[in-house]
Amino acid sequence: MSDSANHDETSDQELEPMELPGRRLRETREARGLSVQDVASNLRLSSQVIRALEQDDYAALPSATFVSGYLRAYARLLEISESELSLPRQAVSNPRLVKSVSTASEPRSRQFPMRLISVLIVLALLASSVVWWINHGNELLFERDDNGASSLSDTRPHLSLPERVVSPPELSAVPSPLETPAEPVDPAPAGAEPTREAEPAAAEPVPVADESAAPVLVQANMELRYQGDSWTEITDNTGERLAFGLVERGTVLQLVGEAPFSIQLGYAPAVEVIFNDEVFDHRPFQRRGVARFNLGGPEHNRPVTR
Amino acid sequence: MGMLGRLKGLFSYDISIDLGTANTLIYVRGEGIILDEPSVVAIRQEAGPNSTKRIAAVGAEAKAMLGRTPGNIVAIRPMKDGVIADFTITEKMLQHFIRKVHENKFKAFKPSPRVLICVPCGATQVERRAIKESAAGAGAREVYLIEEPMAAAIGAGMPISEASGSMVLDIGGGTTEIAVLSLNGIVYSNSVRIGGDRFDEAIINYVRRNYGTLIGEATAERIKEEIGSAYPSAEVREIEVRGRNLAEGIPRSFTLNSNEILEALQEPLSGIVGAVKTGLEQTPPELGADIAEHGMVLTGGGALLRDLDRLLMEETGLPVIISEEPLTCVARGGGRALELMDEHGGDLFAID
Repeated sequence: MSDSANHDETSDQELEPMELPGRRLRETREARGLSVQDVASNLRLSSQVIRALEQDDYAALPSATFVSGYLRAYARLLEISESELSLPRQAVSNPRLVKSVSTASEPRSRQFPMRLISVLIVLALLASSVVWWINHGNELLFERDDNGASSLSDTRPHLSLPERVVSPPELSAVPSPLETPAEPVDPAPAGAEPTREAEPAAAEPVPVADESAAPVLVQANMELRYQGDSWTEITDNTGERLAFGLVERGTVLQLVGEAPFSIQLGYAPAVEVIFNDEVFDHRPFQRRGVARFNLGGPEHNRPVTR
Repeated sequence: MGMLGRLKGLFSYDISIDLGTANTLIYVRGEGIILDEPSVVAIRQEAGPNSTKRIAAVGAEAKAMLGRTPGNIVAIRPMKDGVIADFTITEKMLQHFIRKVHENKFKAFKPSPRVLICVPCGATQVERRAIKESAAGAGAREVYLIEEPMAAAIGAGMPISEASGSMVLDIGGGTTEIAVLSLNGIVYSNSVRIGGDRFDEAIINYVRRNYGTLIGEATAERIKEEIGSAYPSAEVREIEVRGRNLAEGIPRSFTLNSNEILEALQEPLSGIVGAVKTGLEQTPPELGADIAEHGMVLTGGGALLRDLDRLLMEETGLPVIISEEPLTCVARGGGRALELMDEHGGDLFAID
């Protein structure tokens, strides 16, 4: 774009003395037997403007955009093609704008030194983090293993291996440190049932685990009440899209599906969410009005990050 | 904007996007307009149990598919009436365009440009937010919005900084924006949801009513471009088109002339004229006098409709001029606004 503009400027400078369009327009108009008044009334301009155009007197005319528009309209009226008539080019792509209010000087962030410094700082940070990881990273891994083993050893005997309670917990944990993370997460139902009957005291942790897993399979109902327009996108556990689009104010959406739901609200403050007949407070998930969250699943109450 | 943003800025452009119903244009600061593609996305439904949706084509390639797709592909125009009709697909489309713009220069990095997007002045807060978020989702580092007529006026080179009224009429694919500007601000603005698409629809309806023949959107657009006009003229032009005859059910070719199309376009055109007249009525008298002296400026694709300026001149009695390169005015104006924002700080225009 800038190249073509430059090109036009230079060609204009070469041709300017003879090629301004005023004379050509006047001659064509006279050849067609039109008066200035005719042209002026046809283009809805004053006759002074038409005379100024014919005399190439741009000082008497409004800004360049209008002049080139008038010239093109005039040329069209006289059936002269635009390419025949060399229109004076001006900074159309680069309009002059003046600030009307005070000028506040803002520090320019795009300057070269700033960029260089920011690059250097980031590189230094990266280098230091690599050095730190080489020194401390391995220790960290070991620490995590120890913590995992010791905390798991307390719950493990109660859940699935009641006969091992007699043996010291440290011994049961040590032989298989790698398997330990998997077991407390999914208590096998076959193992859990006998535990509840045989050991009532140890049964307490089991129902807790059951409760958190139960809603996953249940058909849940949800109601959304709109006090204002909001973009809404709701997907349930099967991946079925229950709502998608702009919902207008005053609407009440009734939805039934398999929990958990993945919900995205474009303007959350205007929407009241009622999940299984309970009002759900989604304010913690709102960021600048937009809320993304999951409802009714194990990820319940955890903001969804994108 | 923190350090990271500044770092990302090293590998991205500052761009201004005219996210239009018909076409999306991207102006890159310092480079000019480097993308001009139809706002169309073709989506393929993959076979199989998961049946995922894939983007098959975006832009000109997808537009060629409009109305010609097999069952598993749909060509969608995600923008309607100047605002987002399908959030996810708009985001994907923007992502594709932004990546395409950065392709030749910063291939190795994920682009995260500063983006200025032009929105219709009639867009609601929700629609503005949707546009802003889809740009952010497409990877934009910072998103600014500017009202379309403001960008159009800057792009057309109108003296909007002066204490003098300038009227701009931007006829896009989905909306027509009318605004009166003075001292870098909008004095009056109105947006009517009439644009190039409504012209096409009107032609389709006319042909169905009078010829009992069904034509597609692409054909209607071609008719409009070749023989469409807004004001009667002595010269009558003709075009031969093909469409499906409703009675016989067989494709037939027939000839249309420019007077018929003029008749077909009466309804949307009178909508635009009405909106212009309302705008002039609502303009304060001093600014109205300035407009009567200098004239109003037409921008946008609609300005290319033959003799539209003549129609408006006859209807309003004011001078009407067509800007240079009306199709790119908004995008160029947005790019200029981005430059001005950096030169003068953010408070030059009302930008959210």
